[in-house]
Amino acid sequence: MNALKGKATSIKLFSLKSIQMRTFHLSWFAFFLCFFGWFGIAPLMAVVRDELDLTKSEIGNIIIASVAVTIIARLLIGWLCDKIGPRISYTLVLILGAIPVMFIGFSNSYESFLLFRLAIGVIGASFVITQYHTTMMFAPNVVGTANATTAGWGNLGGGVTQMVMPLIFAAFVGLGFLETQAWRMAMVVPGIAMIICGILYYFYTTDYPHGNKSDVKITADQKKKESVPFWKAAADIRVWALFVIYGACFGIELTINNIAAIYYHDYFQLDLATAGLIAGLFGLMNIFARTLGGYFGDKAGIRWGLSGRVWFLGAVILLEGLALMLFSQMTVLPLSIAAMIGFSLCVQMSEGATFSVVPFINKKAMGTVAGIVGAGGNAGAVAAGFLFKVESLSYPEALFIIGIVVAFASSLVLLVRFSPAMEKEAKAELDFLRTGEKVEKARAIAYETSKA
Amino acid sequence: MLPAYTQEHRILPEPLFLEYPVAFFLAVWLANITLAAQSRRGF
Repeated sequence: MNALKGKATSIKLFSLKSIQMRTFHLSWFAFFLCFFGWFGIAPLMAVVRDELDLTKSEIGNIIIASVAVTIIARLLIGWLCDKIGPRISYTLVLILGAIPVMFIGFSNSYESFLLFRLAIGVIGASFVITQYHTTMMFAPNVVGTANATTAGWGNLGGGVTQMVMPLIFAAFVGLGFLETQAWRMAMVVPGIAMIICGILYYFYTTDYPHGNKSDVKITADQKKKESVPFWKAAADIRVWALFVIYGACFGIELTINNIAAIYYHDYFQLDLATAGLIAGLFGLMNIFARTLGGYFGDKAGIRWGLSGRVWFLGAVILLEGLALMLFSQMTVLPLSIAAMIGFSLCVQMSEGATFSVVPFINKKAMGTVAGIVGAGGNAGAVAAGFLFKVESLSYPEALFIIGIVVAFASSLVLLVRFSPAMEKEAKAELDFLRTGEKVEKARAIAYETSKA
Repeated sequence: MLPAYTQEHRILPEPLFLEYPVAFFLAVWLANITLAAQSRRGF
C-alpha cells in the first residue's frame, strides 16, 4: 500500500491547503493556459491569412501541423515525466512553450509561420503532464474524477480562447495599432500568462504528495526495479487499444471543434456568429461532461473492479458512435442542436472514462502509457481531418462514417483486460482506503467527543 | 477469465441503463424524420 502513501481520497474543490489540491488547481489552470496559447492564433487566422496571403491548402497544412506535432510531443513528454517528474516537466513546457507563442508575430511568410505553428503544437503535450500529476496525487477511488476534471477544465481553454483572443486583438487595434501589428501583439498576452504560470507551478507544487522526485533517495537496485523501459510499456496491446479509443473520442472532439461552425453555417444557412455560438456549446460541455465520465468510471471501478471501469468505457464509446450517427442525420435545427449536445456529452464522458482506466494499466510506466494514449487523441484528429478533405464526401456523410468507426472502436475494450492479480490489488487498495477513511472518521468523532 | 468478485457481473452491469439513451436517440431520429417530411427539409 506504499503507492497510496499521501494520496488524497477526496477532492476538496475550495481548498488550497493541501499539496494535492494545489496541484489539482494549478494543473488544470496550466493546461487551460496551454490550450489558450495552443489555439490562440486560430480565431485570428483570417487576419493572418490576408496579411501573409495564405491559400486554403496552406491553411489546411497549418491546422494539421499544429495537431500532428503534438502526437510526437505527447509520446516524449510521458517518458520525460517518468524520468524527471511532472513539476519540472510542466515548468519547462510552460516557459519554453511560451517562446513560440510570443514570437509567432515575427513570422513574415508561410514557411516561417508554419514553423512557429509546429513549435506551438508541442504545448499540447501538457495534457499528459496534467494527467500524470493528478494520478500521482489522488487515490484510486477518485483518480478518474480528478483526471477528468483537470483535463475537462483545461480543454475549456480552447473554447475561451476563441472568444477572448478577438477581444485582445480588438483592444490593441483600439490602442492605435494596425491590424497587422495587433495580431502579433495579441499573441504576446497568452505567452506571458504561460511564463507566470510556469514559475508558480515550480514553486507551489511537488512531484508527489510526499515531496519531489529529487528528494526521494532510491538505490540503483530499486531504480532498476521501479522503472520500465519505453518499449516494454509500449509493447502492451491494451495501451494501443486505448490509443485508438482515445482517438475515437478526443480526436473527434478536436475535429468537431474545427468543423462545427462551418457545418451549421453551410447546412443550416446560419450566419457565422450564430453558427459559432452553437458550435461553442459543444466545447462548453467540458465544464461538467468529462468529469461525469471520470466519476462514473470511478463508481463502476468501486463496484465491479477494474473490468467495471472498462465496461463503462465501452458502453459510453458505443453511445458516442450512435450519437454521432444520429447528429449527422439531423436536418431540423433544434433537433440537430439537441443531438449535438447529447453527442458532446457522450464524447467527453468517453474521454473521462478513458483516463479513469489509464492509471491502472502500468503503474511503473504511468507517463509512457498516458503519453501514448494521449497521443492517440491527436492521431484520431489527424485521421478524421483527412476524411473532411475528401471532395466527394459531404460533411454529414463524413460524420456518419466516423460514427460507424467510433461504434466499432468500442469493441476494442475487449482487448483491455486485467489479470486476477491486478484486480485483486485494485480491490485491496480500495479496501485499504475504505478502512483508512473509517479510521479517520472514528478519530474525528473521538476528537469531537473529547472536546465536548 | 474474470476475477472472482466480478463473476456475477459477466454481462454489462445493469445500472448502465444503455436502453434509455438508445431510446432517446431513436425518438430524436423519428422526430427529425417527421418534422423534415412536414417541412420537406433535407440536405
